[in-house]
Amino acid sequence: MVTSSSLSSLTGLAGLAPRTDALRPALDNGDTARLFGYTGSDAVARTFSVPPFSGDTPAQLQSRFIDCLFTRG
Amino acid sequence: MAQPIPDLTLRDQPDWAGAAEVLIEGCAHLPSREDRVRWMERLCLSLGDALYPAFLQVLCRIGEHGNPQAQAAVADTLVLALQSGRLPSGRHAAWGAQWDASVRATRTMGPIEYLCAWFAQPDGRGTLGAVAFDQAARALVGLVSHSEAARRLYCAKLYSVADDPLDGAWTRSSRHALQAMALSWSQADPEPYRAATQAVEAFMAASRHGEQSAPAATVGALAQGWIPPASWR
Repeated sequence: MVTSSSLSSLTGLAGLAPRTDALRPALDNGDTARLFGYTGSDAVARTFSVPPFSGDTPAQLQSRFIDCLFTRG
Repeated sequence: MAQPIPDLTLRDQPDWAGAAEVLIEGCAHLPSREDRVRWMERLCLSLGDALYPAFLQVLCRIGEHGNPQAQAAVADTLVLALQSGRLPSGRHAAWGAQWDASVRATRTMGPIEYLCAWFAQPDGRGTLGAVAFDQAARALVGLVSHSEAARRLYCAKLYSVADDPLDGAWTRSSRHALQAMALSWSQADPEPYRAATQAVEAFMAASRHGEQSAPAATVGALAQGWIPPASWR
């Protein structure tokens, strides 16, 4: 499980959270790339076209984007 | 200025495709170019630096699997972002530095430079392997190449980075590799996929060449050429 705060503590970014050393071994072994989907393999995926406009506001689009990738709190 | 949303946790099975479609929708349908750039900028900032690789992965997915219209919508948004200095960016450790909040020796980098630095100058987060870098970089460069203006502006940005030895973010060999990428990309075939392949191959070739001549850049070699001040002799 990768969280913004745990990665921040590992990477020294922003200093937003206390250190989470439990995650360090996995991430230090180069797993950060794999966790974020940088596998180098050709995953089967559908082709993306321009979708019709949902009518969502920028804030709603942002929320949809985040919900696709993350859970909150 | 948007702040990172606290306590976001990457899902075990992130819906990269769903996120890619939302990003395309915003870039294609928000009312103005300014709205689109502002939205993309705020979205990136809301993730924070540590989760920037996720945003980058979504761009890569669009570069790999987007049809030409979808890629052009995103690339056109990147044009104004490049022009106005609001390219979605992440922070990577400067050359020789590890991630450390107390030192903060990090540099802000745009998507392509970020991938190049992750591959060529790994920091505390570990390495981005050659195969993964090749795939991701070709996707990103191909995506940007869907707008001729974006390609031209991004090449100029890479040249600027490569020509700045004082920035401290890059080793000499990495700057040389970035320059090779920019040169190849600016002269490459207009077809985005071929342009991306040529540009990334140029970077990889220059990186390999830099590695082979790396002993000349070791601290020991540098020290040999150092002349101490007269008072120390």
